[in-house]
Amino acid sequence: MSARIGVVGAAESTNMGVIPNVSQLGIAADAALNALADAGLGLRDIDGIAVAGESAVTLADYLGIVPAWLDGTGVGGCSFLMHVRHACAAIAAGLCKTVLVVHGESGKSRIAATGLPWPPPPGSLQGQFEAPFGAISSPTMFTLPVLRYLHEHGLEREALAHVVVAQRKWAQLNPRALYKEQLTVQDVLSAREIAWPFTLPMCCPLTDGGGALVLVSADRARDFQRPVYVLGTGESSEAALISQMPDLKTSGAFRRSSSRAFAEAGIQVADVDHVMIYDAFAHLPLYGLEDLGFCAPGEAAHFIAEGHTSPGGRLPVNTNGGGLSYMHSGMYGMYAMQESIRQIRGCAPAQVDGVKISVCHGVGGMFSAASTLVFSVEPDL
Amino acid sequence: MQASGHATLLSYVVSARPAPGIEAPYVLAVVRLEEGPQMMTNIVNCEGRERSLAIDSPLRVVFQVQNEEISLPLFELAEGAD
Repeated sequence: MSARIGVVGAAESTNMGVIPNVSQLGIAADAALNALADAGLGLRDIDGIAVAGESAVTLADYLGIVPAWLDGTGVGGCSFLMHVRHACAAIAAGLCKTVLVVHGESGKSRIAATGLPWPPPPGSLQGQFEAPFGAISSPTMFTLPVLRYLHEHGLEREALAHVVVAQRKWAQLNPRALYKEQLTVQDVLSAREIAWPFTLPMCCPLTDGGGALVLVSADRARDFQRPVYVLGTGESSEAALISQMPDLKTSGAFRRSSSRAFAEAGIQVADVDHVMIYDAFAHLPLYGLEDLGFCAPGEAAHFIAEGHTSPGGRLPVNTNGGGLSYMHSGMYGMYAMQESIRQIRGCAPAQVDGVKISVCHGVGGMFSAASTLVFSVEPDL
Repeated sequence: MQASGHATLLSYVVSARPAPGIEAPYVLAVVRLEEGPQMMTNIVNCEGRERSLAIDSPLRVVFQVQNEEISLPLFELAEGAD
């Protein structure tokens, strides 16, 4: 199927990591203006807006945008991928013409940040059924299924460590990455324990940052510089609570979201040159590679340990260093998309040769939601 | 549904950091009740053995009184399990 939309503007916030003097809204606005400059457009050209983490109404008003379409889908970090999917449909249906998807998050500095999800309200499902047992933060919750995954596939903690080691190799090539230090498997395993089997390097940092995209119809995108087309999209959800995940070894939301995106794009795994798998924790690339069909169940760890996802490997994954070593402001999906787009445009810090098709996959909550996009340098295969 | 209190250990983590009212290290687990449902809980009475709990170990419920109104269903290794 032909692409319905193209990304014609893409940029992150001017600064990344620690932004001590800008509010969360300010970070979002900064990213929006950068993306518009990249597109050669102005705020007046925008008639659709999508945001998570802040109100779409607030952002529109703050930026002086008068929208014909708003989307505030907020299901965690993959919300921004869902925004792109929803924008595809909206633009194709003629609801709007030029969409801004924007994210700003003062995750670390907490300057006018929106509320943290912790502790959950006592009457919420999490508050009733998980928080009383000390499930109070993602390092103890998102990690919960992993021992079973390792056990059922006959793997050890080294499987998680290899993910970290591989991504640090990419981070070393990225000037904006927070953690560039090269690590060995042993370094990772003997680091400070957070929630065994997870050590500190297996968990994402908390930083500030933002990003924005400008989307138009594929036809219009041809007239812009360096358009990146969206060939396929998918989204889904599963258990709202990690304790209710139906199968701890695999995410149904991942499988449904990605198979739909691949089908719409008309691609197989062999067609994919580059992959971004939202990695808040070291097990997510393992689940992602398997659920998206790049590896058979239980095989992702070996695939990564052999170097196939590292610089020089045949399936580069998380080439910005990932949420584990580049940055992670709380919701990471926007930054995964930014790296897919850079790789297709040929301007990534750790550029891989000949990236024509990039799959970008995001998770929301604790395996609660997922969204997958297939980006392409051409509007047709 | 009346539950027997028997369950199986599906997966867990050992938190190095405390939580409100819970000292570290503590075991946060998801278990499957004999009757079918799975739930989050803590594995207790396993001091010193937290990192060697076997996946699929049989468990039995231990109610921990929180206050006059609420007891929490926690679990310990059932007798005869390693």
